[in-house]
Amino acid sequence: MIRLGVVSRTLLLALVSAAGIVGMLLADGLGDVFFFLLAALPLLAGGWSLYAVRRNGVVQRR
Amino acid sequence: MNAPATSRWFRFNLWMHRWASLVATLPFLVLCVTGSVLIFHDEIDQAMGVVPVAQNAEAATARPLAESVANVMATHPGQRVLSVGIDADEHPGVLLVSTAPAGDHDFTRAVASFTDLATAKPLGTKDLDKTFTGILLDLHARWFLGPLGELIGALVALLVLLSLLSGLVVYAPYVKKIAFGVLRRGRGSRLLQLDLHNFIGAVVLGWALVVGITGFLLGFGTVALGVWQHTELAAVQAQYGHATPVEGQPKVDVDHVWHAALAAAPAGWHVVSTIWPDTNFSAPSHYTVLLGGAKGLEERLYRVALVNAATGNVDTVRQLPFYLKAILVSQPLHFGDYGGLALKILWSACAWLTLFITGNGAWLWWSRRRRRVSREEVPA
Repeated sequence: MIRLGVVSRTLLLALVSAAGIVGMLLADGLGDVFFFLLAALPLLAGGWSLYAVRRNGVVQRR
Repeated sequence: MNAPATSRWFRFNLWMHRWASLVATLPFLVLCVTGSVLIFHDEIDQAMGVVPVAQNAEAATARPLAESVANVMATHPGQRVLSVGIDADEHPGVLLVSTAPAGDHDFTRAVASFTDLATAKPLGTKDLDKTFTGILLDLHARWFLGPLGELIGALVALLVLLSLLSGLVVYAPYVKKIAFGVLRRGRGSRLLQLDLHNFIGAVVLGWALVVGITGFLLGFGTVALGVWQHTELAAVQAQYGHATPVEGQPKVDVDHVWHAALAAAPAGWHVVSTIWPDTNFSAPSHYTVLLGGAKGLEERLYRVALVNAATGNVDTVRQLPFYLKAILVSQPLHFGDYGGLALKILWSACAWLTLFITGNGAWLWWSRRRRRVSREEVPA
């Protein structure tokens, strides 16, 4: 399995979000909902990370 | 991207991130505040009654458009018609008639009059540049400076894009030490603000890239329109230069033009706007009709039909050049007003988060500088 670094993951999330924003302009109906979720994915991932860090305690890499 | 924190590439990006962001801080704060209000321009305009509501919006039959135009002109002596338009989604049953002082060829001094399509009766007149959202848009898009202000906006957008991309390089060594989502509370306000800056920056990066790129393109809107007027439109005007120029009221009325353009358009397309002959957007002998598609991208990528004002024939239907298409598509992608309330809320959230990291980034620079200065002043 390919493991992405945090920066690559951040960039990937940004590109997915941008694709979602553009996709919403092109799609209608159910596609709209799917692309909206893609557009909001970084916010959802950020919210989840905040929650996970609070639950598991502070993680410092070094 | 994973440059060591001591490399020249990293230091260049740190310098770029710091100075591009600092130069753009104040204008970008203004853009974020005005932009987050403009996301809801439809709702604000509706609440402030900018566009009147037609009482008979559901009526099956409509009076001829020419009757609406005649009724508006009766109340606007000394004016000429520039264009008429219908926005059936946002303002059903309402016709917008743009007029300007007789002799004007551009829309600089245009005022908008509205009529009820079912009765052809005037509903009121507004200068759309003088409404609350009109003034905010003038500040957001042009800094009250006209086309020069648009170019300044493009420069700010470019600085923001440089700040985002260099910020990603600067972020790499940081995120090796501090996991994504960690906010170091209780260890001083600087560390907490730094964590917030990096965390929020990573979360809004995709949105900010889209808004930055489209903002940069929109800054060239007037330039692109000028290029189109002086190349493609000028070529069309030269091609039909032999046709009889319109003097006074065109022989063919707007209803005929409307139907002729619709008949020449692909199935499912609709007329967005009809521009009168002898303006900066039409030939002296032809109406220019903007046609829009039914859904998706086609809705934004207008086609232009030229209708002869003497014969009523559609002489040509053309696609817009790629640079105008890019600007037209940039508009919704910049303002986020095409995906309903959910997208508007997402847009507002991202705008306010970006506003926060713009301010807190400047504070981080200032606090670091203050600490350095105070260290240098204290003797060892």
